[in-house]
Amino acid sequence: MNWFAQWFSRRRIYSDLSAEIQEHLHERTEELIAEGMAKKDAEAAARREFGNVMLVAQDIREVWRWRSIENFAIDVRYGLRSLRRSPGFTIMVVLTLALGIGANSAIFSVINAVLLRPLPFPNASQLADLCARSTLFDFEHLGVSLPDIADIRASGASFSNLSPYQLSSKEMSGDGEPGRIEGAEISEDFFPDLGVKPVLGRTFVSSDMQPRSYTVILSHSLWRDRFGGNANAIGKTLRLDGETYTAIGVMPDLSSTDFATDRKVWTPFIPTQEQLTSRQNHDFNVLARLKPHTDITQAQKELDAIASRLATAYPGADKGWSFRATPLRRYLLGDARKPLLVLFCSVGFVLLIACANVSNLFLSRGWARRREFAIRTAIGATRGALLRQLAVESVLVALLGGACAFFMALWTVRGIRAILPPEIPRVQDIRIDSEVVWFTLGASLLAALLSGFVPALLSSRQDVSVAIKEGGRGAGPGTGHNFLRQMLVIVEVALAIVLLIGATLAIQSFARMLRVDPGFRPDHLITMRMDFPEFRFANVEQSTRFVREVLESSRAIPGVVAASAGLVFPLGDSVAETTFETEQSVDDTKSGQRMARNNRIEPDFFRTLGIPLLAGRDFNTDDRKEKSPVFIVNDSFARKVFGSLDVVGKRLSARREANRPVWGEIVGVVGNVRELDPGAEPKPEIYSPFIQTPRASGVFLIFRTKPDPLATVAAIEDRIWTLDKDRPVTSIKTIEKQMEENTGAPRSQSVLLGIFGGLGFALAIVGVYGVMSYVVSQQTREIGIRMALGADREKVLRMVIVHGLKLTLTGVAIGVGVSLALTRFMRSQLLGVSATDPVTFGVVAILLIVVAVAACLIPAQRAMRVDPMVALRYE
Amino acid sequence: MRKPEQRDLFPGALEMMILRTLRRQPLHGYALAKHIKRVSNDLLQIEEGSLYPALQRLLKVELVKAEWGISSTNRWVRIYKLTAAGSKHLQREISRFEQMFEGITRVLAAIKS
Repeated sequence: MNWFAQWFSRRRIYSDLSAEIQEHLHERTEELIAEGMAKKDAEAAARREFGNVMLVAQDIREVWRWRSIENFAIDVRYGLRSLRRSPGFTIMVVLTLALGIGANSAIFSVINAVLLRPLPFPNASQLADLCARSTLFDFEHLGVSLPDIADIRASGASFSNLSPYQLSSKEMSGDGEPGRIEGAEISEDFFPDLGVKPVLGRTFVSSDMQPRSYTVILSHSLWRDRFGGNANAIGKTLRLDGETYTAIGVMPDLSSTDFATDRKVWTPFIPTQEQLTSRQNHDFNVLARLKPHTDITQAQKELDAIASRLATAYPGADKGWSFRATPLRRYLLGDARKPLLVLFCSVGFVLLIACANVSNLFLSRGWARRREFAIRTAIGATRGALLRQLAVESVLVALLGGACAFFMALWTVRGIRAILPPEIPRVQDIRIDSEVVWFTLGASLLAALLSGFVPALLSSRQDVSVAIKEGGRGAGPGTGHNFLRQMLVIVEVALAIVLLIGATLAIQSFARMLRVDPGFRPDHLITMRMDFPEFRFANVEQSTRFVREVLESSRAIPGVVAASAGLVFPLGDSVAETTFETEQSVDDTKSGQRMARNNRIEPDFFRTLGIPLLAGRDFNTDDRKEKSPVFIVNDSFARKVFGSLDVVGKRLSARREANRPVWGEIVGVVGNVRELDPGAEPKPEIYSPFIQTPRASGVFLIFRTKPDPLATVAAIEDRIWTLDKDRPVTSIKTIEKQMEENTGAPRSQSVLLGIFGGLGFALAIVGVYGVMSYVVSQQTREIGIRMALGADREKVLRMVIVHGLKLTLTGVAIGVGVSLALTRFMRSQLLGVSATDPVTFGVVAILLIVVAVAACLIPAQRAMRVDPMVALRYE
Repeated sequence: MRKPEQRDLFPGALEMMILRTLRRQPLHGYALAKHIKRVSNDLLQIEEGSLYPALQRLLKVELVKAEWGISSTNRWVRIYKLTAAGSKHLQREISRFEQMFEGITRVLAAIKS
């Protein structure tokens, strides 16, 4: 019989049994009557012979009953009843836990979506990103050259495949406004390596990888939007960069992968002869698949060996270069991991503080219920039964808290999604799913254990004879109680200190970032990108001519104050660097090539942005292609390279031709432009006239306007499309918006850490207050005696405050120590403020001490008002 | 807490006697009690009531089965029968018991001599 059927058949069993026992007694009674006994005596004798009917019934029930479950059900019922009897306590505990658990669930939903959920590729742990680094360049992630890829492929035993790809954007023309869509050029192995199959058609095969094959794979969204999700899209054509491409396949929806897989179109990667042979051409991203049972450290070791071999074989190109393999998941996460772990840590601390508060409440409640426990013990309950009862109660409140927390998380998840910066990968995937539910349940049970275990142990330890006496006069809570309470205060204060210090550091870093003077006037500026695809702009003269036409015609728009263009713009998402030489450095073989930031610009760039010209002149239309190069450098470059600002007329080279520097002259010096990093030195920078540099794939137009810059966008676009109706304009953004995005991550970090820090702080203060109130209420008699013996009120007040202060100071000391150890994990997120900033530590510690003492004041005043007569009479 | 009741029998003895009695013929509770008392010549002091939990334990593990019916004394009673599993179990228990009993006897005899 299974337990289910058993459960339901039990009622019958019991009624059968009572009938059966009745029958037994009747039969015996009748027999005895037949033997001549009086009816009354016969009934009594039958019962005596049978034994204790109740006991038999209970024994029988025990045979059938699923004991533990049923006892548990009784405990639950009893627990619920006892919680209902003290609604104040229950609400307090449930709310406290709900705050603690809810914060954890909400942050876990982020961690789960961003860090834990696996990539949507089979065996994704074997996928890696392969990149190059150079001692020369300041970049973390540079591409790998095709000959180097070939060498790694030939000698590397760790990789089953290496697949180069390039992100690109294509102009899609046809009906409506011209648009640019994001694409990627991929090799035929790309999707097979990822293990992703098309939902329609096929991926690339070798016949697609021929020049002029013009086949294209569509993303799910493009297929839906442009081809109506129709199966006959295969074979249809698309105009991209002026060529007609034939669609051969449609991929599944990969839009949330934040990788080359979330593009709109994929075209075949067909390298040129130059790309195939040049080791200097670090333009290629590489998707690597590790062989089964090979791990990334093994692969990295092998890459290091290959890099040093290549450096010896090709010192000109490969010296100073190394390769790095990063697991794809970590590569896609980028810098998002650490801030999230810091957040998770901080909500963990909030939960611990909440548990400490609840623990204190349980302790007080246990003490208040000591007579109830004593009576239960006296009538036969074991300590185990009491413990079980208390455990059930703490699990019940934790589950109630968890349920509230779950709804809180449901309610806040959208807010959190809005606070988090959109660059965090998969941020749009954050949601409350089954994993979050399990996590919430787990966190609730953990909270029940943390908050309920020790109080339950202490409360169930009962001395019946003492407790059952009226009021338990004279016997205060045992030393165990007091010790635990003091520990709770210390722990709460320590955790609150850590939380507050972390939050304050993040907020300070953010505030300093906002105060950075970027070196130009960021208001009323708008930027937009214009690309120069090769099919339309074969050389730099053509693109410069077009840019100048656009700028000229835009300057005539009412509201446009100034207009210019640059390869990149200050605070933008991309930076450019160049090697450079001076006449001194050329002679000095040791110093060799050096690096500086580099921008290629049109005249009027500095006036448009509001960068001050410190010496010399701006570029003008007379700085032509065929003339010898001219440069403008910034303050930092002049000081670092030449040691003075007096550099106009000095010679500089930013380019070599036939292995000889191409010399030019510095014609001007401008002010520094800074990144929003308050700790960073301004970077040395060289500006060149756009026309005097090699062909670029695109340019940013920059406009300073009088009214709201967004109001002029339509007019500017209009001018551009009058000149070329197929010229798309993308990335339209004000500089202020750009600055907001740059500060998005520290903003969300400081907002969230601020919220959790405040929450932890508030909970900790409530906890300190609760414990001190309780201590005072327990000491009422002692205080009464002291006052009866002549202690003045001031002394009593001091006694309570000193007690609270001692605990707080211990907590502060521990908290500061823990913070010193922990804040270094935040170092990479802190700009312009040290992770162990003594001012922050000091201010937070003092704040906490002051507020904790204030929290002691209320109970202390209550103690002061104790009337000795009353205190001694009752208790 | 109830004290564990004083038992004169070793655990399992009552069940063994029930099974042995039922092997002869199906009986209802009262008849079973009477039979065991009579056969043991009242040497074994069994509380009649203790029979019922034992019967329930046997029912639960399906060594006996029970049906409502009319007894020889013309009463509406539950009659217990041995199942095949019960019969097998009884055999095993008896041989185990005999072994044990023999062992105990030998030890006791050795001490006497």
